[in-house]
Amino acid sequence: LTPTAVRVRVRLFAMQRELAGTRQVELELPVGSTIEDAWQALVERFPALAPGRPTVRFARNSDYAPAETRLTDGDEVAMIPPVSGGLG
Amino acid sequence: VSGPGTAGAPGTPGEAIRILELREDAIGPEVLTELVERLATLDDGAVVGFLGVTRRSPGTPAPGQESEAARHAGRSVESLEYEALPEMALRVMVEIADEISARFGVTRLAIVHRTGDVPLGEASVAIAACAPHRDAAFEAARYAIDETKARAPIWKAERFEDGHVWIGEPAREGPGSG
Repeated sequence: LTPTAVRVRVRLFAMQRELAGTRQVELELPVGSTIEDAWQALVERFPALAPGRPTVRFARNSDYAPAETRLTDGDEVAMIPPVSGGLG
Repeated sequence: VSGPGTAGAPGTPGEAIRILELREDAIGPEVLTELVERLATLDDGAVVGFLGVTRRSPGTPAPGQESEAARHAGRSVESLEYEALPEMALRVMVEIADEISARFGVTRLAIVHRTGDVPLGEASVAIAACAPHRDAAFEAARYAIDETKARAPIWKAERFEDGHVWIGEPAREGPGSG
């Protein structure tokens, strides 16, 4: 039987965690889905996150990864909102 | 993670020692003594230490936090709250230490970052770099703090009397021109 879905765990931090009201979301996405697809699914559930798209960065299994990265069953995706950075 | 890292650049005298940690407990100024005791060898003619300390004047709000920041304009910060994705933050710190070894030949380095609530005047981050000569030690320490802040998944909120503001800018995913 060919699997038709990938299940991924999405982790949220800082302002995005507050906007969504949760630290963690389990998503089931079609096979071939990318990190961008996971972001879109997340925004569907939590529309308040949408304006953060230009400044969010993504990590897959603890490494930064581009939005077009394909997801594998069991992946952990971290949404990385702006970090402490800058002049501090 | 903590303890010996990968070998130093060719020709670098002395052993490689790395201390890369996230800590929930307070970091007092004595952390620099602790780090130097653990890092410095008899090959080291230069020891550079840095503490990033919580101050009361607000920083630049993260994109999307401007209106919340405006609500607290003119007020004093009461404390900072740091949140991290620990396993990834430590991985980024290992990458930065690798880059410091390759770029500056500095192989005795500490980066210690606090998480949780940090009261005013307390350190949120401590850096120490030991090297035979001062140029490399200064460069290594500067690179370590700049890159950690730009790249590590560590978030900072300024707490005010009646709310908080997330500070910062979009994460940089790899090395700067450093």
